[in-house]
Amino acid sequence: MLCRARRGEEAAQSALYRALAPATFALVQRLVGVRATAEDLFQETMLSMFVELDSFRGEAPLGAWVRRIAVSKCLMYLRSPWQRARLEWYADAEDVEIDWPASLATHGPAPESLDVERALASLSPTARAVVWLFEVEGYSHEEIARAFGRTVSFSKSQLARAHRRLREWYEPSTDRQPCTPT
Amino acid sequence: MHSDLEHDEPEDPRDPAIAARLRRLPSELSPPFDFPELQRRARAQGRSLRAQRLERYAWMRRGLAAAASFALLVLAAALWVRERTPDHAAAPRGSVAASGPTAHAATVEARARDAGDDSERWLASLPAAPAIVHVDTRLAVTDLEDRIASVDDLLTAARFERTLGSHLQTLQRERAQLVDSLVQVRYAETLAAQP
Repeated sequence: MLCRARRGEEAAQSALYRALAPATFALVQRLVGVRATAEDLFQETMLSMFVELDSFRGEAPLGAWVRRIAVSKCLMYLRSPWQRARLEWYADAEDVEIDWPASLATHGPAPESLDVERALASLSPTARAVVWLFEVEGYSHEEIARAFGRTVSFSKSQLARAHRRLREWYEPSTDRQPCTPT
Repeated sequence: MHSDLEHDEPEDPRDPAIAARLRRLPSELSPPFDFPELQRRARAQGRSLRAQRLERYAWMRRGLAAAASFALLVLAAALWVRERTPDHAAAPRGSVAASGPTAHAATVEARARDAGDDSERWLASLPAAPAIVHVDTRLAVTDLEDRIASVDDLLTAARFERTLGSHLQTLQRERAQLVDSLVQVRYAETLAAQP
């Protein structure tokens, strides 16, 4: 199928798309959080995949190769100066706008999944990308630091921030000690 | 005396339960469009990019001319300032030529004339922004980077549509010219930022 897709056979390309698109879109959506941006980056990823299919040497599974393209596109987006400015704004903002993946509504996810998606959406874009790359994609702090062009401390502190925020999400302030004696 | 505030490495706050929850999320989401729509978008992107290209051509020429003039201006100003600095004025010409900015300039200019790979490697080796930021230079750099990104988009669309070789070569030439201009502006910026 790969050879036929490389030759430009539409049926093979379509089959590849059907096989790889759902996982790729899930990854992009979770890394960037904003639906419209996720769609754009997903489109760029899929176009790049077909354009660069000739350079795929089969050293890793095709899915892993496409995931690498997707991660690279998302990080390029998150590293841009304009996005950095937005990230700072996000960091300062008290309320983070949550942008739901539309497909969640259509597919009726399990309540727990929806809750985790909500928690993830409440993170800043950088913290979300770092926690996802570290905990799910298996990147090391060194790899994340390299990908963001920052230090290992940056990766660790973003991960710490993400975990703190997620913990607050799951364990709201009910277990906190009151300030005044009862 | 150390306090908790002095720790710059955060302690490991990871919660295995949270990590497990993240990993349990569905690994697939239904994509926003199907393959025919991807094809349609690729074609539309190619058409709209081609339409913008004619307009961009004019902008590009103006941008290239402005960037080159600006680079020359900054370079001349930087050299003039360095010549008037006592340390550099007193230094023998030979030593400046051997290790100072002139030698560096020759190296960088030679690199800029070489193939795009060398230029891009040099650009990648620079910090994202110099120590001293000049607004005009930054604007020129941002503008050139945007234009390079636009040409990259055109190249991607052209390759996806299996465009004729001549069209690809034209785009690659445009890109090389833009990278060359960017090298000149970044070099002038680097030189101006040197103490």
